[in-house]
Amino acid sequence: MSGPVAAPDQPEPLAGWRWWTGLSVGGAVGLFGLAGLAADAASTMPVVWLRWLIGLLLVHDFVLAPLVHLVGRGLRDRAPEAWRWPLQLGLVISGVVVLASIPVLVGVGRRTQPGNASVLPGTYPLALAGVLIVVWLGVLALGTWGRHRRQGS
Amino acid sequence: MGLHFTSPARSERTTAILGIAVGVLFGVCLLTGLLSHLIQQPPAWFAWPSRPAWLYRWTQGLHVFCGIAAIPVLLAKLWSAYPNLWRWPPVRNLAHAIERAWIVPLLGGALLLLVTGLMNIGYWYGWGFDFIRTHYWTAWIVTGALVVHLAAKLPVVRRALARRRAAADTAADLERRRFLITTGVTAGLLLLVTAGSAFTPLQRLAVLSPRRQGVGPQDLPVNKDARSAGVAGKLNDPGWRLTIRGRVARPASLTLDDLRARMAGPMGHAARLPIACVEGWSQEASWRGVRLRDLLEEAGAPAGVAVRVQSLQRGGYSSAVLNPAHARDPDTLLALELNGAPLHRDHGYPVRLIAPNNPGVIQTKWLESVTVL
Repeated sequence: MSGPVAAPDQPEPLAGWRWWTGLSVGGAVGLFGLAGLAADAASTMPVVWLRWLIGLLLVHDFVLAPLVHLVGRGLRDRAPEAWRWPLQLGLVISGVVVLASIPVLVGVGRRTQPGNASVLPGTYPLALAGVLIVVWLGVLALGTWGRHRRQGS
Repeated sequence: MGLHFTSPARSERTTAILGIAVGVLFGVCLLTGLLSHLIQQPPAWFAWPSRPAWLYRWTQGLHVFCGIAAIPVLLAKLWSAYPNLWRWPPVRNLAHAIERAWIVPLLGGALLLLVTGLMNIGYWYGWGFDFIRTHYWTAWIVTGALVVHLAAKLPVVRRALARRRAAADTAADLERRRFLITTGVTAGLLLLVTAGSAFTPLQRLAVLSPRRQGVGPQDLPVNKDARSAGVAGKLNDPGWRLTIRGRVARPASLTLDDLRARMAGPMGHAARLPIACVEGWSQEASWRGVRLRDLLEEAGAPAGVAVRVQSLQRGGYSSAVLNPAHARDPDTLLALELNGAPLHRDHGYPVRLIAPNNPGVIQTKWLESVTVL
């Protein structure tokens, strides 16, 4: 593997009319949103809102991203080359599908309308297991195909 | 430092391509979200047409499913730019400090929109604040921060996209392409297992969707059932009447039998129209009832009027205003039947509104009055 690569977007001087126009327009739009949020405080609960915003940012930056980084690093260092991408594909798809399925898996929504059978009507753990089985069968097929191709060449 | 970034999949080009994809997806979400906001709270200059009947359904499908597709794309974008978080020194000058400060509302806001949006379509209101208003204002904050970010990164994006490598098949290129393919496949798979709640050809694959087409009373999902709306005890009241009032020459008070008699006569009409929820799911169904415009004409309402429909429900979405285009549309019905049978109580028995190109939450159920404005 190659050595350390340069981090993306090398420092650029922030200057020129495009930057200042963008900052002015974007800043005005963003402040309009902040002002609206603050003016509507009884509904938007800015302190709770801020806790969510910062909390999600921290969870991403200091839990999720380092975890993904370490798993990716492990894959690059340890997995056989033919299996590296299939495994990466399988892990990324599985991770994201599981994360995106948390609301239906937890199923809190059913409690909001106990008599409404059309809210969260699925058997989600089973459905998720089915989706993941299909994904990992695909991983197996892709890895096997890659290994044969490598041996053939 | 413990984190040592070595993946060749990271590059300016990867970040630029993913950044553009996030920008497009969030742009679609912003426009379709603002449109729905305008339709539900129309200012004086805005009139939403009643045709084409499918338009609102498509805009809200785009809103929710672009949001779902944005989950892996945003995460991939953040992964590709993650080393920047650890760059030293963290700021170089005042302009750079400003640019970095705007990343907090940009990323935190974007994550907040996606996470609470996803929870909201799953009916999980675990935050305390009002979802609609907070989603609306956060969208403006993120849009502003996105413009600032774009202004800062535009030179980088142009440079990254203009650069054509001489040897396109290097190992690093292959890694980058595979990373982008992984992101695309993940977004595609998420859509495949959810979008069938709106897009009928994928109906059977929507196994992880919080709603399924065809699942619900009379084979149609229900947004709010009669019990949760607090109307269950009022629906079999023999004293129920639908009143037609306001700016009319001949106010009326109609029983259910009066309405059925009109449905059997020339005022009766059947239409295939979608219920389109702001939460993304939608489904077409067959409705039969009395044309609203014929009832208004019978009551002697002036031409081209707006009307307010009022539900037996109190609070929530208990009333709605129909603009003149919707009120006079030949398919706008006070519906008594759904898919060939009398309305189920969760679908609005004894009578509900159904109009083309209208948000589901204002297709008011359990009607008690129509007021000409």
